[in-house]
Amino acid sequence: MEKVLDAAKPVGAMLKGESEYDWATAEKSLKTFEKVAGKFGGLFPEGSDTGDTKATPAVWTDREGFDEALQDWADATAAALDAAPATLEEGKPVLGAVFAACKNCHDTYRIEDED
Amino acid sequence: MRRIAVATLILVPLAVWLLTQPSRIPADGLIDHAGDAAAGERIFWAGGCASCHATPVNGRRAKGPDKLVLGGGMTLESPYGTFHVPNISPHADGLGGWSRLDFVNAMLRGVAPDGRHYYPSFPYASYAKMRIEDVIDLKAFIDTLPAVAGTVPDHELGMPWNMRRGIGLWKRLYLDADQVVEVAGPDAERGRYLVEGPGHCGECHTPRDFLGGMIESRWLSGAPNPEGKGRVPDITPGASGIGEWSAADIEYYLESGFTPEFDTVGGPMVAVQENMAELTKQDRAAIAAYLKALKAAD
Repeated sequence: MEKVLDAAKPVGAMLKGESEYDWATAEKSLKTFEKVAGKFGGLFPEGSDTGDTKATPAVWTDREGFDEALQDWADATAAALDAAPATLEEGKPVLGAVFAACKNCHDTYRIEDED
Repeated sequence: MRRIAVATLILVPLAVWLLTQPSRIPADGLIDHAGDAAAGERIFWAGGCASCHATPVNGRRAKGPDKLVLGGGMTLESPYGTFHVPNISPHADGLGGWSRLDFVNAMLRGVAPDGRHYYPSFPYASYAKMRIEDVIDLKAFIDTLPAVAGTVPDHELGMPWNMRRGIGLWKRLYLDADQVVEVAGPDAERGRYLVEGPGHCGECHTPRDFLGGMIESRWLSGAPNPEGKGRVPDITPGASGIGEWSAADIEYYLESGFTPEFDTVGGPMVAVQENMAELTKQDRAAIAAYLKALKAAD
């Protein structure tokens, strides 16, 4: 999961306008997403809902929804890789969709840090 | 002695009755302003009405267009008991039939059309700082939304919180139209209005005293999560707050839901951020300017 966040950073910086748009960098991040998205569901097997987890119980009680949210992420990533946008203008909607998938899944399936 | 006892028996209840009386804005206190629904939509998102009043869908908070279906039904668990969020759609079970004055008194004074106090779980301690024309515009917008039937159960509160009349005293302590902090410049002032008034950010981000009033000397410095575990973060520019965030970072976070580390917004703030994303860039920049202008909490 840390790998995902590390990969998200350079793409986020481009979307935010902090760094120059560069498809090769974005592509590298998307490939990381592609790889992780396929395995992600396996990180939360039945019965792993106790102990040190940031997953909400919904990951296990609403497995279908969780899998669907992961699929959205994989689909958005695949679409962005397909589109291979050359400019920020073209990149914004497709990469934005990938980021929206992150946020959407966290909203339901990840708990907040509790101090 | 007897006279004192008699005086006490009559005067104390009388004083309490007077002190707890709902204070309403009279009909002639209403300004002559035709409600503008388009302007009211901005206030609707700034005010976060949907975050509590939109009817949950399949047990989850409403998303997308469902946010405009204001049938209520969400519950808020608090240390005082459970609040049931009411229907505020323009149906007879909600705000249907309300006058503009009724709505203004609800928002700015926390008083229902029948004269009862609302509980401050409805954040009128913040809304009281709003401009009356914005409140009228907000009603004009809500009137354009779907009318949905349905009422919710009464709040389930323990003693003494179930004595609604007592809220009159609370209002005497905590309800006023004054802005909380001094800031300079048009951007920060615009942001102040949005944050302190409709945005009601202080309701979660400011710690409360033992009577549940916001402690203004610790404005936006973070507080225990009113809905359970954890803390609502300090959003002043100090080391324990968001001092490392630039104004552009704050603006981008409110627009996209991504922190400067590109992690995502979480918890109850997700709904707030989605509302902020509906505002204009200028409004989000104003909020950022205001937050940067605050005194650091530490």
